[in-house]
Amino acid sequence: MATRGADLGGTETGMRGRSTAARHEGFLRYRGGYWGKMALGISITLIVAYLLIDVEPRHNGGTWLGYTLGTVGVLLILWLTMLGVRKRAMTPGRWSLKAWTSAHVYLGLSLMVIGTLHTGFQLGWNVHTLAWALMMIVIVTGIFGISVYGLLPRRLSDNRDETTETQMLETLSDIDRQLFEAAQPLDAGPAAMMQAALDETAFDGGIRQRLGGKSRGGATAQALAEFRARPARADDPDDKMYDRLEALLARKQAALSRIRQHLRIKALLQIWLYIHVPVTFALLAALSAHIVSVFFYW
Amino acid sequence: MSFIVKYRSRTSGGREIVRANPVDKSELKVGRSADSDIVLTDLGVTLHHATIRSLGKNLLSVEGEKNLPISVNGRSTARADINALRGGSIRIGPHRLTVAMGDGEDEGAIVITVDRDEGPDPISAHRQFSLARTIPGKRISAWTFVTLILVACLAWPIYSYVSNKGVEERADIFHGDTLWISGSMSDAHANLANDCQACHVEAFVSVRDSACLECHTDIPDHAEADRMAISEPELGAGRAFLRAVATTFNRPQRSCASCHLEHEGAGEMAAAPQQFCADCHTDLDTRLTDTGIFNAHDFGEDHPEFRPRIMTRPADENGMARYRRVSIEDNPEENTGLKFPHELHLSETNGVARMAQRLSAEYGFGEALDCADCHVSTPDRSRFEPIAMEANCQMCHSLAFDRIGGTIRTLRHGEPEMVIADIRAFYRNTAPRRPIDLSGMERRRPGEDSRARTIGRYQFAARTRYARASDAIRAVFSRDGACFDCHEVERPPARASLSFDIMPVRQISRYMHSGWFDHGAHETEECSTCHEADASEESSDVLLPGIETCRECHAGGTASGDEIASTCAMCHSYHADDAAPYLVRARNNRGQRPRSVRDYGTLAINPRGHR
Repeated sequence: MATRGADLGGTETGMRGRSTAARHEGFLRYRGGYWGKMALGISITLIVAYLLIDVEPRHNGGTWLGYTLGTVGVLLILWLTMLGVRKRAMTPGRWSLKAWTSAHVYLGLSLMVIGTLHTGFQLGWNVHTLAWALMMIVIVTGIFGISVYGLLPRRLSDNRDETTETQMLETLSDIDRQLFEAAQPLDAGPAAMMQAALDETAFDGGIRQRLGGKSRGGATAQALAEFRARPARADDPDDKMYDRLEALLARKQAALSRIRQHLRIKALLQIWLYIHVPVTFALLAALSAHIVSVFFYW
Repeated sequence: MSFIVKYRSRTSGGREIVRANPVDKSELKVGRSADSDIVLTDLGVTLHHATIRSLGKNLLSVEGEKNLPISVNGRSTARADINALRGGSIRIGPHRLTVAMGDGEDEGAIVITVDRDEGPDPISAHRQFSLARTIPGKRISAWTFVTLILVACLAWPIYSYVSNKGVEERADIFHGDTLWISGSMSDAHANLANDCQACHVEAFVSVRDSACLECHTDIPDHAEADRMAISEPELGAGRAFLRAVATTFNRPQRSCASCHLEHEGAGEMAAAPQQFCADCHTDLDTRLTDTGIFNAHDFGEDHPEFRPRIMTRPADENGMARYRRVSIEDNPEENTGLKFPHELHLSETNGVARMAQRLSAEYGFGEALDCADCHVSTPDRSRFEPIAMEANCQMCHSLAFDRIGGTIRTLRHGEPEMVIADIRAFYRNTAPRRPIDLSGMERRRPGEDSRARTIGRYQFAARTRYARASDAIRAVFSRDGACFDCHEVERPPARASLSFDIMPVRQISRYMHSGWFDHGAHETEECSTCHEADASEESSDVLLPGIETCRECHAGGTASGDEIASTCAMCHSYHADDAAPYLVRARNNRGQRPRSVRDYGTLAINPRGHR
């Protein structure tokens, strides 16, 4: 997972003065968007062919164009799926993983055209449309993934502010330790509140919490609000202790919200793949059922 | 200014040991070297790593040497200030230096507690930050999805197929294999949507004609299969490919399903397009060299002149009518056995018109005769009922010959022998009219002579009356006789014989046997638009219009302006039988008058048996 601002487009930031060979070229700009142009060309050609070729009685998967699109589509899907195997073996050069990824992204986008034209826009509640819908889900999650890879790493980096994840956890545990020590003189009531604040971590909650990134009314925030509301008396010997607790709680609150924001952005960066990959396999299953059914009831 | 440095460590039993070391300096060296004020024993720490300076009663600063990284309150920095009242922590390598104000005996001093804390393992931290623990893993979801889909969309449908194999009619419940439906069934087959096996009988075997013929019996073939195969042109690349696929996967060619495509959406089954006909019928004679069928591919552009089947003789030696197909261009003459000048009957100024006026009250005629006065539509309105003497002619062309009391006796129409017999009987059984001289009221001239002569003549007439029947018979069958006016009379072979006969009259109800014309669809037009009856002096005229008349309104497959797009199926039927072609039936189904071919669009074939 990229924690630096992943510059997918490969801009020249910080690269000025270096030779162009050293310039980073993201997979989207690989070979000047060669695969992008290729995919665009394929899509436009197919759309034009679809409009011009007059098949009777109407376009669907059973015309010669439909068969061709279907065969090309299924081969393309299998090849796209192979990225999962291919990415585990990195090689340089023309057939580099970068080239492969670039082709995966762009040809995957053109699959939207190929698959949809194969349907002839005849959709219904059946296994055939299921396969199409799963394919579209895979492609749309892929588009989402590319988009967040382009947008979010900078925000992730800004939020992180040059701390690592380990440091975030260390900070939290340091603050917790200090809070724990500083809170020892507290009475039962505030102590229970403090314990709740100590128990609060940024990792609670499910996927909704992760993606939402907000935690309203956390124990830390409650304790902080409670302590701040406490009337200050200059001669009170506990005053210093409360000041220190307030400062520590505020730091914990800040650390928690930074971690939560970090988690949210990371969740947004990761979530698509948890749909993209399993739905790909669902698609392969539906595709098998689709092909078998066509020949079963031939 | 003094600091108290506390080293905190743990015994192997976990007990905490704290060594306090007061340092009375305002500047503390932090590093691995032994002369440091705070000694951190770790190879990741340089000999002199950082310096802590007192900046006041409870304020201190920490600064890394030569930009060596230190982490203050979880943040990498080269220099930071820490207020001991608020507390803070400095991390250098695995060591944590916690800064706080001392209490109890250390009151007033800044306490720096040093302990070794490896901190969280970066890998486990990374895992903790990853989504993996929050949602189900990719592998488990993938397996779940794959299993669900294979069971629901593959295993279940196959089970439905196997369990219903050989069942006459499926139970009216949901069957798994309906998940495989590739599109809605057409309206005609909608009742089969839940019964895939009605058509898909065998697994992995394409739909065979036998499945169609179970219900659709008696469908005429278009032509012999071998001749149709010869007629087919070279296929284009696309269809050659389609055929190759079909051949590879054992799908028969020229089957019902080759043309009648199902699962193309609800509504009526899609019509075969004109191209379907034109494929073979364009330049047909170049491939099917012995064919009698003319080339055609579009009504507007390439269609032969009409060749109606006309009657050349109403009866040959065997009493059978003779027919011949003749092109309208060749000015055909037909012979139906009837003499009927249309021009005479439709005139507005002659005796016929006068007669019509006289009979108008009784028969509803107008100022003159009109086509509809004789020609009555069949109930389906596509053709006309045959003309009948009794209904259409007899009001003028009377066959009356006698009156007995108030009853008028007529000759039997259609039975020449009866006519002859009736005339004979009439002359045999009746006396000549009695001369006025012989009645009681005569004015008498003097003497008997005149009276005797009259009696003599009358007796002669009465005696010879029988013989006058022959003249009467001959007259009826001869020029200006009742029969001769309208019929071809077959004269007796011998001059003396009276065995006259009438050539039978046969009326043609349909001229276009390969095509179809629906008069009902053309009710907006006058009869005379197409049939020039008012100028026809002979009944041998074939009053059919030529193709150019039709083309005034009907274009071919593509129409412009007010023209009506007219594909082959408007007049021709592929499975040619006596029924109307498909588009006409479809129109009648909907009770609509089509404006363009799009109105025919996707209309279905009426159940056969309907017109």
